[in-house]
Amino acid sequence: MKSKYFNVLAGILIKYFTLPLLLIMLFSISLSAQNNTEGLSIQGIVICERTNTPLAGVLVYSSNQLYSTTSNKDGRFVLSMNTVKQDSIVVHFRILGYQELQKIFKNSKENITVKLKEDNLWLPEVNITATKKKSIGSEYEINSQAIGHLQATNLENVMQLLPGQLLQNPSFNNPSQIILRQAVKLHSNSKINYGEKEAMNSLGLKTIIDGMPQSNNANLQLYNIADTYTLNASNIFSTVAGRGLDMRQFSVDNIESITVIPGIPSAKYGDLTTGVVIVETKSGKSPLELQIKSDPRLIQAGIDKGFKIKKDGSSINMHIDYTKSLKAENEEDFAYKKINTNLIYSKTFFKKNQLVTKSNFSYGSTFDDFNTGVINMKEEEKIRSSERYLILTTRGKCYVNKKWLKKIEYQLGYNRKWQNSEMTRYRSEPMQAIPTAYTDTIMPVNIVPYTYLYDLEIEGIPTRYYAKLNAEFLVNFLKCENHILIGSEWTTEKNDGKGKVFDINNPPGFSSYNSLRPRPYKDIPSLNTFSLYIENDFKFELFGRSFNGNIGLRYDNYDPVNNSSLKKHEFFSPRMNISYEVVNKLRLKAGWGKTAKSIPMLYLYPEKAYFDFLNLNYYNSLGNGQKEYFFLNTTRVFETENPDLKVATANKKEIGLNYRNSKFSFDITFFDEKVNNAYTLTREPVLLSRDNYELTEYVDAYHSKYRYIKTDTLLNSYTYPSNDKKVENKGVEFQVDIPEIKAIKTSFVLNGSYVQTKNEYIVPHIHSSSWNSKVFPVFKAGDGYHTEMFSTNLTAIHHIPELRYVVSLSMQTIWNEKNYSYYAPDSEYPVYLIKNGKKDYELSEKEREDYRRDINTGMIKESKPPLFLFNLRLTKEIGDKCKVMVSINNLFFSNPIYKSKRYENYYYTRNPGVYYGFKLLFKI
Amino acid sequence: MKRVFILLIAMSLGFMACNKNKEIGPGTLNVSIVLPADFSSYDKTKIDVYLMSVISKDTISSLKTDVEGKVIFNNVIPGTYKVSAKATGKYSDFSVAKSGNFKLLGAENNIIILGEDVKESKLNLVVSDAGGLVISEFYYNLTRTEAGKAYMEDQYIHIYNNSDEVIYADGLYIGSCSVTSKNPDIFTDENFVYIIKAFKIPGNGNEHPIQPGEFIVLANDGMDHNGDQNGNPGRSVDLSGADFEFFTHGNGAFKEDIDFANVPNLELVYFYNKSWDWMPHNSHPIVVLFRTDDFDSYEKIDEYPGARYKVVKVPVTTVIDGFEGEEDGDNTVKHLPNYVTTSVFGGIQRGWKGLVCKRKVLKAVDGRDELQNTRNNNEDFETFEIYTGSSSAKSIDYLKLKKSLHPEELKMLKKISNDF
Repeated sequence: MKSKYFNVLAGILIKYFTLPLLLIMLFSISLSAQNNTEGLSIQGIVICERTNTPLAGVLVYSSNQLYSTTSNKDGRFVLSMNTVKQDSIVVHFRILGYQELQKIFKNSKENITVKLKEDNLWLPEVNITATKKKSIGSEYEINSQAIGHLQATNLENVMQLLPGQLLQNPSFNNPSQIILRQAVKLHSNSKINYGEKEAMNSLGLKTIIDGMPQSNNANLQLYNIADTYTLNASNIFSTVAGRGLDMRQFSVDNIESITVIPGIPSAKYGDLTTGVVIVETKSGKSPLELQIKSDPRLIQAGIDKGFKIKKDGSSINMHIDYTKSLKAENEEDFAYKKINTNLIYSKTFFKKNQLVTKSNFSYGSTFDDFNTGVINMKEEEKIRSSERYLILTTRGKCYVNKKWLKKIEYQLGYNRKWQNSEMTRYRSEPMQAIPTAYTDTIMPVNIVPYTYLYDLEIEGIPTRYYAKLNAEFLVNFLKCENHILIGSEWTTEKNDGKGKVFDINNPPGFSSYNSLRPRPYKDIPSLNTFSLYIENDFKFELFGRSFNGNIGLRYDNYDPVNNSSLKKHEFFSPRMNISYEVVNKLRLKAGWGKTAKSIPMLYLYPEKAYFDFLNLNYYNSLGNGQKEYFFLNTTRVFETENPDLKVATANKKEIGLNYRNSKFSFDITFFDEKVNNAYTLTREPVLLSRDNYELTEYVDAYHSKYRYIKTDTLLNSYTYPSNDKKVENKGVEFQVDIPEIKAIKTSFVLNGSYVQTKNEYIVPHIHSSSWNSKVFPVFKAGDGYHTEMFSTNLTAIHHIPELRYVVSLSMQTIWNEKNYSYYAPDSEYPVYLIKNGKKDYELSEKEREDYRRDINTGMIKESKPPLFLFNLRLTKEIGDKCKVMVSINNLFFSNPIYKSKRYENYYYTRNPGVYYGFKLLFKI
Repeated sequence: MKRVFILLIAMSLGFMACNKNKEIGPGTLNVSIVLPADFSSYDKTKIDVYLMSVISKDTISSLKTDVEGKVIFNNVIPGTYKVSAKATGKYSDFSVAKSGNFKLLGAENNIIILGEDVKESKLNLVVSDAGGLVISEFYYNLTRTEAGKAYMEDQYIHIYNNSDEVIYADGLYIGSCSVTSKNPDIFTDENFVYIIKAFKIPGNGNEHPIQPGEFIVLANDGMDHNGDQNGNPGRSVDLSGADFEFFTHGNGAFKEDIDFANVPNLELVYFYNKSWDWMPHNSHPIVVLFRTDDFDSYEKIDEYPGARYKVVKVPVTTVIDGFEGEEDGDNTVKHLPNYVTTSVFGGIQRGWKGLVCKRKVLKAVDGRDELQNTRNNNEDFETFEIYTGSSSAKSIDYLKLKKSLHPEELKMLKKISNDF
């Protein structure tokens, strides 16, 4: 036995730690090759421009982030860069409360004075839009000033600064999720965040907060996956199980910057198909900040404070925020409440070869009262979801500054969530026989009356452990600077919750045909991911112009300990981005890459499907409320786990142009993304054979005598996780920035996107309207849904530093919004029929005619005319201590009505309603 | 200013006093009859016109029309009246391709006569099959449970023998129609009723007699809904004595219909989908009674292009009676052909109020009630509250004994008593 364990252990060690070992060997080689004398060194002092006082704790780093230091208490810093190539280097100076400064150095400098400007509106420059980063690939950066001016209420809200994202009034009534580069189907009056295809897009988005990847993989807060058509339809509770994270939970008040990568991300980011959102929270000394935001439905308040601990230069940042959102204006009941607390401890060790550490403790809770829209609720009834979370994470960056090895980075994280969905309601359904069996059984069962109060609880405790280690090297060969990154990641996710809990004798009112049983989550195996990645960021000169490139390879193992039934669990994701300056200031960019998104627990370990039917059905009313009854029930159980379930993968391609000069900058990117094996739920018909009995002698509800009459068959169905669809997003996004035109003190940003989204079956499937028949026509692959959207957003930013205000007016235009469903070519007739559970390919002429499908109403193209929406944002500073912000959405009360072509007498009200928001910020 | 005000009050009091002192004498009602086109040659002097007190249900007067089809009721004492007209004959005497006897009926309700009034009433006569089976009572509005939720199990239908001879219910079909359809053609077809569900009363033809003036009860669930703790205790009706219940042997659903052993089941003939129970739509119920020996040969069509389930085309000539209702104010499109009903019954209020609709009594004949059937649901039916606790099976008596007053009647009663 011992040797067996040893073999397994050794196997794991050899299999998964060979590369890290090699890595460490590489470290030591480079460590031994010490060469500290060569290179560039910048020395100087950082001061505040207004007060001329030295600034301590200013982060000074090179743009490749391989060299970094912080200024001491006298504002002095020494940034030594052990780089062979004496090329010009961009050095960033960054500290909370000041505008980031970038300086270019060609040679070593001593005693330079760097003046930083306070982050105020009397500065000539403000930046309140998303900035497309110059680097290769598609990457947008949004700073805290932009988030503040936008008056965003949560992380999803911020995304409206990106091209193609549409404005939505802040609402906490439903989960909000981020989707990127997808044409959304707009519903009457609001942007719909969920739906099957959106589920894949939001699921495939990676959110990283302070280095710690967030995950929704172990979320199992779903009523019954074995009877769910699409994930949005099963919203008995407010839940995002199987979809992306609920962004309502993430506050934005303490965010320093958000980086969004919709394109091909670096190989260090995995477990995604859509893109990456990287959030950095504020750290460093800052005054006490008090923020209050309010609108007719919402109140948000937050407190921030950053302390500097003088002794050792470490700092502590504290953040608390509270949100309460009402169900509707003038209504007392709240729909959503949350409280977040966040504590960050940052400390820098060593004077030379600094180790910069940041540790984060977050705790908070959210509370979602889902009663909204449920009519006729009694006092004692409730439907609610709540979540508490704890995040502990620590990371460090060590700037070793050796000849090759420049930086080592590590991160350790722990994240536990306590999710609870609870429904207490009156059952209000016909008297029913109540089955209690968990296996295939036939037995007498009891009944439940028409009405009683039941309680259903789903408790999930997703728990995550995360570790990351990587090293960065700078190597020059072939006249080319290579910035090499090697690293590895490990994630373990588990759900420790009690799971679905209810009294099996007083079950919830089942509205569906297959029934539910309590299910603990603790027994579900853990999800483990081991990843390795290597990436080279290189640049060289080609025909006298710079050529930048980035080539990487990621290896993901979604089952390193072999505890799942996944057939293929190892994935290699090559990624590449290049950029070349074709003519002066005009760069051509291109990228190509693959990504993979691990299978969430909900799909990998779905619950069983239970069917219950009566073999004997006897109830005799004897008068005066007296009765006798006897019910014989068969329970049939079906496994819904899909052994062929595959990991969803994405193929991403993009090509673009980027032009930048002092007058304006222009960016355009064409993209083509394909998600293969998108996660779906497929309905499976089942034929159940039923023996019918009749009563021969009544004894009591459990011991009566009966005899067999006949056997018949029943038809039913359940859903199981599948990869039945592919999602294709094709389009173009662009952004034009025109810096301030002095005469009118106004700058302009125009961005927009045109996207086509196709969501298509890749396997033959049963036509959705066939579910009432006993014979199922199966049609060939290729049916799908097409959505198209062309939208632009033009923002004029008017800024008067003397008056310390900035006002922005934006015009969002949806030029074209189109959607329709389509059939695969030549798919009028079914490929085969499922009859009595068997496939029948030989269709008779009558059957062909019977099951021929006609054009359905969904195929009528809905194409809406251009739509304009005007929104205003104002920020005004009153002294140094106070800031007032106002936001108005749909300034001109424009809600045009569109008459549906598809449905008779159906009208869409377009544009969100008028919205007023107000925000106050105090600095003490 | 004050004086003017007082003067005004005094004046108005004076007017009121005059009004009060005015003596109330008898009024006059002029009735004119309009015959259907096919029967325009009918001898107008042979039409019976009845004047009936809404309060007492007594027939005050009955007269025959003159050659112009007119009749005058003189010296009518103030009150609320109903006027009705009847003409009978043989189809063969007219150019109508039908055999047997016909009956032409017309009525107007709630004619208020206040002293020395001269009121006009115009009655459009319509063909009514003499006697036969009719839906006399239909309960679909639902009650509430103690927790205020809808109780959806206690619906029932009464089928009444409106003739003077025994009729066997054996083989009678009860069909119901789709409420919403993507195919509006099925609503405008005057020759067919498109049904989605059909049940049949079992029997060999001589098993289930309905005596003249009696009825049978078809229950959704043959349970003592009022007395059984598993039902809606104290808030519903006892249907354990119903003659038949609607029962669909489960299709594998957990929500299987319970089979009440004390009540025989109707025979399930056609069910468009796999719902688990028969249930008329509770805000827009459509039910027809029909007889056929050949249901299987009836054409089944897709409800709308692309629909996977079929609706059955029932020829309107086989329909014996039908009912279509809507909640007040819905103004829905009428689905049933005019042959079955010329209007939709709108007397049921929204929201599980426990309201039941009953066919009006035309007159008493030989100790039985003859119910009104002008093929005009809105005219023929009226609304009452359900009698909680009563057994609605074989409970025609409560209809007479505990019958609530019509709100209009109440209003009139008050007014009249004030006036006197």
